[in-house]
Amino acid sequence: MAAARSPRTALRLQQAAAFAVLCAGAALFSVPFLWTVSTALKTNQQVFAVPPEWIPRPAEWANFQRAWTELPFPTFVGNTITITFLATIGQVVSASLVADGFARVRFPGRDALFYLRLSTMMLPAQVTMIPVFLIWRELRLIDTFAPLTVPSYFGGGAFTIFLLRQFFLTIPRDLDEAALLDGESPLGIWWRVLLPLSRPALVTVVLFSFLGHWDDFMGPLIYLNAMERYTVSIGLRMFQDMFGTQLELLMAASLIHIVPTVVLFFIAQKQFIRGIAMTGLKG
Amino acid sequence: MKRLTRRRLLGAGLAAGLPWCTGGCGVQRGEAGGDRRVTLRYMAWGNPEQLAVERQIAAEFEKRHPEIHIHLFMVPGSAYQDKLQLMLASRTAPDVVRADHYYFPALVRKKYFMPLDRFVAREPTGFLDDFIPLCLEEGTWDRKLYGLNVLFGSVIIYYNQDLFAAAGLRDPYELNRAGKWDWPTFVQAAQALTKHEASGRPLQFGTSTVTFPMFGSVIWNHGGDFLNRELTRFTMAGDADSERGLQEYADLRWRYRCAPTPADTALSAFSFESGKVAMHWGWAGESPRFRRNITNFRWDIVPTPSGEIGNATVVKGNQLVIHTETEHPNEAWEFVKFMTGPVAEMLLCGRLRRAIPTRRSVQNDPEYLRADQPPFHTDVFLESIRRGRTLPIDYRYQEWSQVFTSALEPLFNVQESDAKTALADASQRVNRILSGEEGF
Amino acid sequence: MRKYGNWGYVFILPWLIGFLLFTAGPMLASLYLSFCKYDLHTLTWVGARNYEVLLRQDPLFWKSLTNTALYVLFSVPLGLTGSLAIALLLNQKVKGLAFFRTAFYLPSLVPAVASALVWQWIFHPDAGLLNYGLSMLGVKGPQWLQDPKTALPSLILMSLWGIGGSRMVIFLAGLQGISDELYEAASLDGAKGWAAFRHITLPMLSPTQFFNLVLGIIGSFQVFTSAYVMTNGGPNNATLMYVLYLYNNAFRYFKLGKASAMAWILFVILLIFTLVQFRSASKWVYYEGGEKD
Repeated sequence: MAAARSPRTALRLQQAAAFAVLCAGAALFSVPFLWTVSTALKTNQQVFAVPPEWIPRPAEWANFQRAWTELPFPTFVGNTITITFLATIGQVVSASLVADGFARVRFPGRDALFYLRLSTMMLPAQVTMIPVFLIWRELRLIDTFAPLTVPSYFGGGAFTIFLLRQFFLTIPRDLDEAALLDGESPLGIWWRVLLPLSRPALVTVVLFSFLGHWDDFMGPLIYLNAMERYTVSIGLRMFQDMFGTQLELLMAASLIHIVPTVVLFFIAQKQFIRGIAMTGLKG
Repeated sequence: MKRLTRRRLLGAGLAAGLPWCTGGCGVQRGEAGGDRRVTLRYMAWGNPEQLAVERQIAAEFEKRHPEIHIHLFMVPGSAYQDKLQLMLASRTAPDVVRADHYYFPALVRKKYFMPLDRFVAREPTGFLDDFIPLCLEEGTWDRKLYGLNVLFGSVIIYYNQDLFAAAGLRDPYELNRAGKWDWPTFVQAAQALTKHEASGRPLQFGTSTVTFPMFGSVIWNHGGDFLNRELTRFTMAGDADSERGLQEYADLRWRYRCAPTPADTALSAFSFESGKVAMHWGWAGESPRFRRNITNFRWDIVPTPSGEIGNATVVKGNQLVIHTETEHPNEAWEFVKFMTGPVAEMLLCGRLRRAIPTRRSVQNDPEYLRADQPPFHTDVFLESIRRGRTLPIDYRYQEWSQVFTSALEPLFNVQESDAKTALADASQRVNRILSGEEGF
Repeated sequence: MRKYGNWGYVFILPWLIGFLLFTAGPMLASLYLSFCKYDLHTLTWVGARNYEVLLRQDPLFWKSLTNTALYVLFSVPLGLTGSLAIALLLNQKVKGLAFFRTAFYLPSLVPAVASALVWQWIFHPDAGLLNYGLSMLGVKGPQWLQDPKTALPSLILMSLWGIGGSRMVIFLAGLQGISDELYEAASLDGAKGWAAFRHITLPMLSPTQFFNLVLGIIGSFQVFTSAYVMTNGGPNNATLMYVLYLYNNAFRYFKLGKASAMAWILFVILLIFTLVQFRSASKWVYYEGGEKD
């Protein structure tokens, strides 16, 4: 339908339409989040008010301070950062290496191993939890960060490997051949050819890995005992009680919890946008 | 932010990863050396408020036992059971553990906990006499004592005194003292306290309702019961008394229309705190929350109503147990004794009013009986324990109670069934579970 | 395809070590357990009894499997389409892109405990946002989570709140990987708009779609958290999901043997689904890198 108009106008119309749809969508998707913010700023009494007020007056900013101080949250944040950082690095490096092996190197038994690896995602973690826990007990590493970080260095999880493999499959293979002729070693190809071309994918993986570890609850819950080693995700749930949740504190703590991830996501956006320029190398 | 380059990535990865790969462990373990004290690990669940009390109790204990250090593991209540079971199965559980009575019978039979009888034998004679028998009953299995009760409580009714006064109704506490707080009186009060808009939209409800097992007393006081004495057979179906009790309870919602439906209660729209529910059935442990949240009306407590057949109330505690694998059984016993002793009970029951004392000496202590903030009727706590009856909780309780609860949903939640039909439905499934036919 | 033989093993060595150390043992252990009676304490071999009970006698097993199948049937296609649509929008050159992307991703960042509470309020039949919105349109909204008929659809609806999350980002990264030259070349041939989308975007995006589809199905079959925190399987087992029932058996009823048997039944189901998808992949998934094997 835009064919009759000039391409310029058509593009502009398309962008205007996209903008309008995005505004509406963003508003819709933000509603639950806005309620979280609103609840975090209410007093105990306001939380129970019906109909709920959207803008609590006066705003109870002290909730953030209370959520921060009623439990040792600075410690929790420090632990979460340490675990997330260690695990993310391991996951990205090892997963990209393994994914390269699965995507671009042919060796006997590769496909069988690939399906085996994928199949590890199909068994619900609930039934392997106890045997895995026993292994860490034998290693005497319960109540350390090791069970939460070390596994990332061994392939970094089926999801990440699968994701990177899918990306690597889309990169033309002639590049490898050319590099091979230039005398690159297979590891050199991974390092100097593949990784620079996979920037959007790597940013994605860093992002997911970070978010996955940042918000992980079950792992820290079962492996960490001492409160000095707790993560934020455990601290959050301590505001939940069988005799009633301290809703406003839980919400305030949740907001504190997601600030780093929102910031990271915002930055990752820029990397994506820059990624457009990078893919110019292709073809 | 610096750009993500490969070199940075690899550098950071190696720097971070190498220590792990070479077997080094970056996290400092446990307590510093040089400390000669025995470290006793103790695990419980709770919110920040509970954490503060547990710390206080631990500090009091350490003051009296300088040779022991209490290492407290405080776990969010919603995930406590998962963690505890994993620790017990892997023999990594702490020395002393608080176990919810809903799970205690299932855990104790796996020999995870140490029998306490040999410790009790070393105490002065009559040591157990100070504990009220109901508490010891819960902690006993196979005729041996395995746990002492903590956070002991009963189901009571919290009531809004202002709403009662405004409706010109007699105070239920007074009625109870006069022996007139029975089921019909309760229903009448609940109906009188319910208000609807002309459009039928509810404004205020007379009472809240609770799920199994908290409504146990209604069934018992109508003459019914859930399981047989041996806890091997479901006895409600076909039993006229049980059916009537259950129907009465469901009628609060659908016939008397004096209790909110699940839709009404979601999100605390009709909660006791909101002042729109005149009577709230709840555990004794809910009182700290009400003290924190309620500022604009007067409230207090009364026992659950009696029936034609009896005046039982529901009681339940949690057990403090010693893990079989502990290296410090004697120190663990000292701690269990302290946690269930007068000092700790006075803190938990007297100060925080989170639970009801398990020791007669504390129950009769004027310091416990005196209250300077609501609920003022401390004697109601004690009366509800005197009338108390323990719940039919056995090692299969989790499974059959869940099946039972969902079989009652058509009756309670959507009004698509009557008590007779719902119980007939429940009967078959519950009995199959009790006979062990549902897999391993 | 690089053909330098044993180097392949060097590449996958980290995973292989990890697999042997942390995955293979526990998986085999759970397979063994599925033929046992295990209550976390005593272990007795019972043969195929657990499988027999599940398949022949346990109505809740079938109920949970049906619930889960329905959930997958609706949430996966709706979710994939939604994610792709948002990714396409967010791949436009419009103002405030970073803001929009963050806004759509935000739901995935909110911790599950907090979002469960938020959604309970949204679904509230009386004071909830959803029914308030419906009443503005003159429609009387249903009871959502409280009604066995609408509880499962409610959870599906809630899952769609996450369409701006990881799947969308993967689509977005996939879209970024399509070079502009392709569109320019197509444009010279007169392919624009819908035609360009059909003949360039979709084929070039097919590996990404394949990835999201395979993992979407595996993930949705294992849906747990939303049912666990929102409804705990109720009302009347209408939202009893497969993994929730498995979890209940393992950690509530102390029936680890039965839970393991359930896990392996699900494993077989997912394996069949995945194999079928890989088989059919050659028909619609396009790899720029050329031969797949």
